[in-house]
Amino acid sequence: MLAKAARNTYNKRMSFIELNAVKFTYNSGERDEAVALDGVSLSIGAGEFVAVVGHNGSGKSTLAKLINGLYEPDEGEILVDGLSTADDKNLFDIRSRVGVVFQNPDNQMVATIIEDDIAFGPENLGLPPAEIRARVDWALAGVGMSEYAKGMPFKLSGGQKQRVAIAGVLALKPRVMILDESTSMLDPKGREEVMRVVKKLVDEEKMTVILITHFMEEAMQCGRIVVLKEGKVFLDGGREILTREAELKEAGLETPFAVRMANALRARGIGIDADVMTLPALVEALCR
Amino acid sequence: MPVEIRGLSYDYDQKTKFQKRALFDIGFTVRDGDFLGIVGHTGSGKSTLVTHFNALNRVQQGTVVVDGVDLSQKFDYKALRAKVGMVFQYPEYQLFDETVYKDVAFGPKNLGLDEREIAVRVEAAIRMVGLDYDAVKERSPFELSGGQMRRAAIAGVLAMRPEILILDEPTAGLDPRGKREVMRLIQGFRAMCKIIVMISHNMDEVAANCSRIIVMNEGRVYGDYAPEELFHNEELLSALRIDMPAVCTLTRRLNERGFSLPEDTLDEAVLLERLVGAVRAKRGGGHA
Repeated sequence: MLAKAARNTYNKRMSFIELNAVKFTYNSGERDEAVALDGVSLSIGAGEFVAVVGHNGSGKSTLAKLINGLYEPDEGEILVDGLSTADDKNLFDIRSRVGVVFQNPDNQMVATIIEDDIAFGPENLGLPPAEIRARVDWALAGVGMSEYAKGMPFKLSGGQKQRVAIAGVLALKPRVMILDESTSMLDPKGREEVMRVVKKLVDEEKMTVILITHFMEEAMQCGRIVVLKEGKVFLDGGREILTREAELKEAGLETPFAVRMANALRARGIGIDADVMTLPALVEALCR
Repeated sequence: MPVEIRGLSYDYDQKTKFQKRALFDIGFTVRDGDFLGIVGHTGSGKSTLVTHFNALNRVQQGTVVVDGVDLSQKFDYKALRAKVGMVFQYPEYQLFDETVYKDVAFGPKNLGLDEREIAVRVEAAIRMVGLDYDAVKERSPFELSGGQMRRAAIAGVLAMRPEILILDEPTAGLDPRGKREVMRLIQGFRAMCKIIVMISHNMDEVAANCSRIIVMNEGRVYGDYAPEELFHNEELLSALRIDMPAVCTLTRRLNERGFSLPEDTLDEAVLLERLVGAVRAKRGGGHA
C-alpha cells in the first residue's frame, strides 16, 4: 500500500506527460488511410527540454495534437499530469496545462493590437481584469516584446510574430509548451530570437518544453532528443544521438555539420574526442 | 533570353498614406545559364523584386525587359507567364484540383494547348519532379505527403515549360532529406530552363547550388557576387545579417588559430581533404 502510494507520487513528479502504446490513424478505414503514430510510448518529465525530430510524415505534429487533446488516440493512452486525454471532461484542464505554438504565425493572431491578442486566452479563462493585465505584461516581457504592446501584429517580422504567439500561450501559464515547427518559416535571425526565448522559459520558468523541429542545430540545444521514424520512436536519448550518422540518415535526417566533419576526420585516422558536436568544439579539438 | 532590370523602384500602397518604398533603383542583368541566388534578410525586397519578372508586380518606375519584352510598356501577359514560371513559398498551399493530373494540367490548359500536348507535358512534369506518374495521376493532391505535395506543385509550374524558373524558398519546411531531394531536382531543371532564380535563407544550399548571388539589403542591390567570393567574406555577411555557410565558418575559425587553409572553396569534401593534410602535418610534426 505504502509502496504503491510512493510509486504514484514518484510518477506524478517524474513524468508529466505519459504516452502508452499510442496509435493514431488518419482517415481510418478509408482509401487514404494513413497510420501517423504506430505504438508510441514516451514519458516526459516536468521541466524537461525535449526535441522531437523526424522526417516529414513521421508523426511529429500528430504527437503535438494528441498531447493537448486535439486528437484522441485510436489505441493506447495519453496522460497529462495524470489526466487522460480520452476523457472529454479533462480537456479544459489539459489545455490549460499544455500550450501549443504552431508553424505559421499569421494563422495564430486573432486581434489587431498585440496586447489584445495576448489577452485573448486569459480573457477566455474568465480571469479578473487585473490578473489579465498582469499576465499580458509578464508574457510580453518574457518574450522581449513589451515595447510592442500597442503595436499591430501585421507590422512585425516573422520572428517577432512567433514571439507574440509564444506570449499568447505563455499568458495562459501552461506547464508545458509544445512548439510545432514554430521556427520553420522564419529566417535565421528570427529562429535565433525564438530559440533564445524558449531557452529562457526552460531555464528561468522551469517550463517543460517539447520542441518539434527539422533543424538539428536546434535539437542539439535540448537535453533530450526523440527521433521518430514512420510513426515509431526510433531513437531516444541525450545529445550524443546526433553523432549517430548512419541511423539519423536512415531516419531521413542529417547530422549537424560539426559532427559530420568530426566523424569524417576520425574515419581518416584523425583522433577527435567523441563529445565534439559543435563548431567551436571542433576548432578546439583541431587546434590541440 | 536575358532579364534586364534598369532603375527599378517600387512602392507598396502607392498613393495612400501607407506608401512605403520597397525597391530602390535596382539594376542588373540575368543571363542564360545563370543559377542566380537572391539572398538578404526578411523584408529586404527579394520577393518584391522577383515578382516583377513575371509581372505580378507592375513596373512603376524603371524598366524590366524579359527576352526583349519591356514590361513597363504594354505586353502580352499570357506569353510572358508561359515563359517565366514562378514557384511561390509553400506552393503546396496552391494545389486545388481533384487530381494531381488536373492540377498540373491547369497551367498548360490556360495556354490553350491541345489535349495531347497537355497530356505529354503533364506526364513529363510529374516524372521530372520524381513522382510516380501512374501512382499519383488520379489521386487527390491532398492525399499526398508534404514533400510529395511540394513536388506536385512544382510540377504544375514545370508543365508550362518555362524558360525562366523562379523559386521562392523552395525547400522551406521540408525535412533534411526532402531539402536535398528538391535541390537535386532543381539542379536537373537546368537542362530545361535557361535561367533559374532562387530566393533562399539557407546559405549552405545557396553556396552549394548557385552560380551567382545577388545580395539585397533594405530594398537595394547590395552586391553581385561569385559564391566563393561572398561566402568567405565574414565581415560583409555579418553586416548584412546573412549566415556564413558552415564550411566557410570552420575555415575562418581555424585560420584565426594558425591554420592556413585557402578561403576559396564551399565544398565540404575539399575542406575535409585539406584538413586531413594540415592536421596530419601539425600533429605528426608536434609529436615526432
